[in-house]
Formats: sequence, C-alpha cells, structure tokens
Amino acid sequence: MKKLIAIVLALVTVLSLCAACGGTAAGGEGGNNGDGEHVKLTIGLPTNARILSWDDNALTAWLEEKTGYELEFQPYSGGTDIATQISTAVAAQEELPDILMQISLSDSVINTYGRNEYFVDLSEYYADREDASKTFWERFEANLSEADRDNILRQMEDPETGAIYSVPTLETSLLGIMDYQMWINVEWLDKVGKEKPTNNEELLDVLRAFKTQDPNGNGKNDEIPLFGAQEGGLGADVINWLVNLFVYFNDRKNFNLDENGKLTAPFTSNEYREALKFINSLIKEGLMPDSVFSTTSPDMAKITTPASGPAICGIFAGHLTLHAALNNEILYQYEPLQTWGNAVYNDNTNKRNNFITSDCDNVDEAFNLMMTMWSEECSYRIRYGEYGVNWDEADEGAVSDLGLPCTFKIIRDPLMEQNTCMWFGGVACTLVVYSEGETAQLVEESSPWMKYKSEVHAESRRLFDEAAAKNNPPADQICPVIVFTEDEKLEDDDYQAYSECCSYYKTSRTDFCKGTMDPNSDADWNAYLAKLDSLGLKGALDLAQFAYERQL
Amino acid sequence: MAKSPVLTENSAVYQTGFQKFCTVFVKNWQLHLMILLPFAYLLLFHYAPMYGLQIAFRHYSPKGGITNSDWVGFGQFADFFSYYLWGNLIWNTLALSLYQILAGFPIPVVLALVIHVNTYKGLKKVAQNVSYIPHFISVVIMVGILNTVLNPISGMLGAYSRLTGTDYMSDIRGSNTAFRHLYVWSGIWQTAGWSTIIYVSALSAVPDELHEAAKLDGASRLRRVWSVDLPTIMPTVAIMLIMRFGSVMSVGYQKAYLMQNSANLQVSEIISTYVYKKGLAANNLSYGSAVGLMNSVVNTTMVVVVNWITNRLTDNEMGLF
Repeated sequence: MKKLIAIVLALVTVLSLCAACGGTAAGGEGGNNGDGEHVKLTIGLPTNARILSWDDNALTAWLEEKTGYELEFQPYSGGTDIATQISTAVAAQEELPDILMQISLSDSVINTYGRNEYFVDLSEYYADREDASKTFWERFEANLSEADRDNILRQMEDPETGAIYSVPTLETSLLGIMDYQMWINVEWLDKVGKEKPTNNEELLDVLRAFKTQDPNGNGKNDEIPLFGAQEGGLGADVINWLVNLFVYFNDRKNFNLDENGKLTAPFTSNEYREALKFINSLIKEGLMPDSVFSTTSPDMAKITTPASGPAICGIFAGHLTLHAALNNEILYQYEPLQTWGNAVYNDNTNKRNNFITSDCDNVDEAFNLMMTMWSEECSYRIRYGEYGVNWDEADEGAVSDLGLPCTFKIIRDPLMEQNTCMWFGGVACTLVVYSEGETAQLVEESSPWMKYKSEVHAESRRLFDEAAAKNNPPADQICPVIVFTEDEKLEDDDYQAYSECCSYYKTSRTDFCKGTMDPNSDADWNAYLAKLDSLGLKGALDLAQFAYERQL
Repeated sequence: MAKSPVLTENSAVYQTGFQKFCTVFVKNWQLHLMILLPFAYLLLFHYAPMYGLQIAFRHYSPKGGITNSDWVGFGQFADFFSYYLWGNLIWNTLALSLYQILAGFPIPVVLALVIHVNTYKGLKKVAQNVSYIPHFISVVIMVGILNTVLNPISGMLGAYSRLTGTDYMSDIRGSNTAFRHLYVWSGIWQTAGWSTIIYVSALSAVPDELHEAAKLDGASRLRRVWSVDLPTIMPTVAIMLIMRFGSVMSVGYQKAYLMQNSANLQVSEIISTYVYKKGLAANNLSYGSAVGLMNSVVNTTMVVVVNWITNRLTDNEMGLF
C-alpha cells in the first residue's frame, strides 16, 4: 500500500510539474458574434490602487448597458514591467485578452506585434468614416487642428505598411499636456521680500535668499531652494526646465529645426553648455540638491508637501497633482512660476496604447466598444466618473476660471480617491478632457482642493499662452516626433549611432550637472563633442533628416 | 578463502551492463523514485529550454516562432560587440561580481566559525536566527530600505542633517563610487547569515577526536579553529567558491535595476539589466538571448578555470571534477 501511495504521489508531482510548463488560458470564452447576441469581451489593463473594482463599477455598467456586451477584466500589475509581461506572453504563444487597454509599448514593439498579426489591423474600420469609426472622426476633427491631426495620424500608422493597430488615447487640452510647470512658494517670497523671478539673475537672487534667510522660520537650515525629479515623469524634470532657460530643447525629440528646415543637435550648442554651467553652479552652491537625479517624482511629495512641519521647498517642478496631499495647507503656498525661457510642452499627444488582439473573436464589437468610449459623454465618464453624481451639465451662462464658457460641471472629482466609478485613474480609451480651469464649472459641493486646482490650472494656462505668444519656443524650431522604419532600426548603422548619441548626451548631461565632467573645462566639453562625433552624430542627423523629410 | 565463480556469457547469472543497471534500479526503486522529481525538473526547466537558444542566432519574430524565424548567424553577437558601451557593461558586471565574491565570500565562513566556537547554546541559536532573518527580505523591500535610509532629504540622512543643522549631504544613491559598495555590503548584510548554514553544517561534522588530540597537544581555541576546523571545512569552501565563480557574470538584474538612476548609470548598468531592457522590455528577444548565451559561456569557462586552479593548488583533492 505504501508503495502504491508513493508511486501515485510521485506521479502526481511530476505531472503537476509538466502542467506548469503548459500555456495558461487567458480570458474567457468569447460569446457569439455578428448577430449582436451575447458578446463577452476581455479587457487587459493596468491595475490601479484607486480603482476598487472593475466588475462592480459604474463605468463598466454604463458601457455594458450602452453596448450590450459583457465585459471582463484581466488586470496587469507591475507598472513599466507590463510591457515585459505582454512580451513574454507573446513569446510563449499565450492567449492575450481581446483588448489591451492603456498598455504602453514602444512603436517598434507595436509594429512588430501588428505585422506578426498579434494585433488586429484596424485600417478598414478607420476607412469606414460614415459608420464604424464615425465617432472617432467627428471628435478628432472637431477637437484638433489640421496640423495636429496630420501629426497624430502619421504616428498612428505603421510607417512601412500604413496599417493602424491602435485606437489612440488623445489629450486635447493644452493644460493636460503641459510639462515642466514650476511652482514657487509665495509665502517664502513675502518673507524674504522678493518678487517672482523673471530672469536668471533674479532666480539666483531668490534661491540664495531662500537658502540663507530661513523663510520657513523654524531656525533650521533645512530649506531646499530648488527641487525636482528627473525620473518618474509628470513634468517634474527640473533639469529640462533649467536647460530651456537657455536653449529650446525637448529631450523627447532630441533635435531642433533650424531656419532652413535642417535638423540640429541642441545638445552640442554653446547655449546648452551655458545651461549646464548654470545647473552645475546651482548644485555646487547648494541651491539645488543633487538628489534631483535619483529622486522619482512620486517620492517628491514627501519633500514638497511634508506630512508634518513647515514647508522646506522653495521652487519645484511638476504636475500639480504630484505634490498634492489633498487639502494640505502647504500646497496653497505655491503658485505657478512663469518661465522666461522656452515653454516646453509634450505635443506627443497620441498614445498608441489600446489594441484589439488577434485572439479576439469579436473584433467588430471590440472596435465598437472603443468608439463608444470615444464619445463625448464617455470621455467625461472616464475622466470624471458618474454622470449626475460626479459631474453634470453646466449651468446656462456659466464661465470657467479661464473666462471660457463652461461645457460641464464638476461636482466631485473622483480621480484622487478610491472609487468604483472609473477604470484607470483618468484615462482609458478616449479623447480626454482635462478641463479644470479651462471649461469646467465648479459648484458649492466641489472641494476646496478642486477649486484651488481649477484656479492654478487656469493660471498655468494663462502663463503658457503668454509664453507661446512671445514665440517661446520659436514655432519653426519645434521638431515633430521622428518615426524611423523597422529596416532603418535593424539595418542602418546610423540608427545605432542615433540611439547611442542620444544615450550618451543624456548620461553626460547628468555628469556635467553633477560635476563629474566639468562644463567649465574646455577639455571636458571638447571631449564630449569628440565622443559624439566618434559615435556618428553626423550620420545620425542625416538619417533623422531623411526620416523627417519623408514625413513632410 | 572461497573463490568467486567465473562467469561467462553462458552462465545463468551473467548479466549485461544494461541488465545490471536494471537490477540495481529495481532494487533501489524508492531512491530512484525520489530522484525522479529533481530529474524531471532539470530536464524540463534547464535542458528543454536550451532548444530555444537558437533564437540567439536568428532574428526572432513571434509569427515565425523559434524554428521559422530568419537565421542571422552571429549577427546579434556582432551587434552587442559594436555597442559603444559593451566593454563598460562587461567591466561593470565583473567588477560587481568579483567585489561580491572577495568581500562576501569569506564573511559567512568567518561567521560560521564564530557561531561554531561559541559555547553558549542559547546565544548561538539567537545569533543564527538573527543573522538569517534579513535573507527573507525581498529585493524590492531591501532597495526600499536603502532608499529610505539614504535619502539625503526625506530619509534618515536628511533627518540627521536637519538635526545637526548642517547642509543636506550629497546623494549617495546617485554616486558612481558608492553604488558598488552599497550593492555589495547591503547584499552581505542580507545573505551572510543564511550562507553560513552550509559551513555550520560542515563544522558540526568535525570529529571531536581531532579537537581532543589538539587539546592534549596544548592548542588554544583559536589554534584549533585554524588547524582543525578550517582545514576540515576547506573542501566545502572550495566547492562553494568554484560554484560561485560559475555565476561570476550572472549578477541578477533585479537589485541593480532597482538601485539604478540616471546619476549612477555608468556603473549600475550591468549585462543583466541591459539584457532585461533590450531583450524583454524592448522585445528584442534574440539580442537578449545572444547576450545571455555569451554570459553563460563565460560562466562555464570560469567554472572550468577555477576548478583547474583549485586542482593545481590542492593536488587534485578539492576540485569539483
């Protein structure tokens, strides 16, 4: 008997081991398609701590009622590692959910998956402007300029085949895509008797006063005059803001255009070097800690809005919500600071992050679901939650903080709290409306935080428009996102040079700022330029120019 | 003395090699059943996947799969060696790994000896348990602790600066010089206790007679550690060292990746983090496999070399093979 038990146990263990090697089935069984009968769609999307449930969720209920489809969810956790999970699943030939939503993948990966038929080519649906993609085109054309539309459509397409694999998430509000907004502690300004700085010298003067005059009044030398985070996104990259005081530079694009339409590398210019010298001097003088290079933006809140005690930060970079502990008194000490350099914004508004996979049996229905999400009403639901509870129609004649006619009314913004009325933070698959301060009407029930947010958003927008009106940055210098073909990426040595030059200048920027390389030393600067040359910067520029002209 | 019967092929009890194997196998079937599980594990998870190694020589496409993707020969390897930082990657990996071995390998041995010579049983157990506990902290938590402690503003270092009224310190987390020290010594703190297990176990097998004899010869406790304990566990130490060198190029990506930031990238970018970024995150599986394969070849070579050196130094007594 013992022998028998031993054999059975051993076999079970070995078989279970074998079972572990097999693929796992993802998603549920698809419902019937075509006839509008029971359709079940599985949606893979990133987890979010604020969303308590996707199944028991007001947005899910509304979409199911609107479309008649049953929605199932397959949440992915792991932030940036989600791309790796998808990559692994594809390599292991595992089944994918019907729809991948809000999944960030590089263009190269998207095109690879599309060409290998893991993602469905949706070109035919987009071509059917009168029916299948009517909602998309109506809103696309109503909300974007022709230049923006061309730019976005170009980015949506596979540059070689012209196939479109995604339904984009777009942010139309300039405010929503603003980057590198700086905030200044106005209480500290009052205490040190200064005005908001309007040039580099005044900035230095204010920062020195913040450092030496104990503006938080606790008798300790704990003030951080200038702060930000180079990692973690959300516009907290103070280094980019500082560089743009000297030269227009958007490190997402890497290059600028000159007056002849030729691409230039701003990171080799003298102005760029001056910027590095300036940043280096700020760190040396203790006006900005070198931890800006190792702090992530989510960690910044501990410093910009400490849980207890007085404020310790004078000026910092980043999206307002990054620094917002709700109703934190310290928060209200900060006001937007106008740049006197170039206002940088992220015009890469097209997020190719919603896909229908080839494992989907109901592609028509999946596309229809996405089009429903693209409707104006759903956009509001996605961003602001439940109609009538979280937001409503604007009162007649209501005017926003920016002085514009209101398009809707915010009652209670659920974005910063745990809820079951939206899917993922703010966006899922939609033409996003980020409109506090722009076209939103606030009412009595709106929290003080919402009112504050609306006011500062309106102020930010005013400042941005002001800078843009001064041609900062010069419109003709702004380079569009350059799209390279897969062949160029795989075969062309100049592409490798391009990627190595970009990697090198970014690493060197940190070294120059921290003083590992001395921006004041001609030898170090020339060695940096020589290294870029040896990596093939000229060839990289030529290739980028070729790709850019192809896009025109 | 009875003579063994002479067996010929015609003898009734003559067995071929295979038959002998079967006889022994059946006779010890319980043992073989026990080995079945680890054997299956090795086969399924370590040998079967080698089939996929061929993608290092192909341009892998999900549609073509492993066998139908285009051959590119050594193209992926050539790409790696034309990457401008390939030498840097290898040096960073080697430097980190060798530092780990040099600083981290002797410490568990010493710790095990200290625990072993301690005559207070209670204290011995407490010391063992306390030193084991850090092993159970995950890498993510470990790096989180490092960040919390070392943050020069919001961490303990920041609190110290505020307390003493001095300027905030330079950020050690972004220091190229500090990265390897932080990586290695936090690792030692975390794993030294756990790594003592095998040595404590080896020390418990030291015959008491040797100690008795040494005592009679007037050897002090320290002398007995040096002349009795240490030589006895030396074969175990040698085997552990050889095996450790077998993974000299296999510094795990997790901790380095988590500790990485734009300020320390020059030293924190190692082969495994690079493979993770290029191979998995950027979905260039062939490239990642090629670099991984190169890594494994170096590791295997290291095992052979260190084993050879060990054999040379110990007259073929302590080598693994």
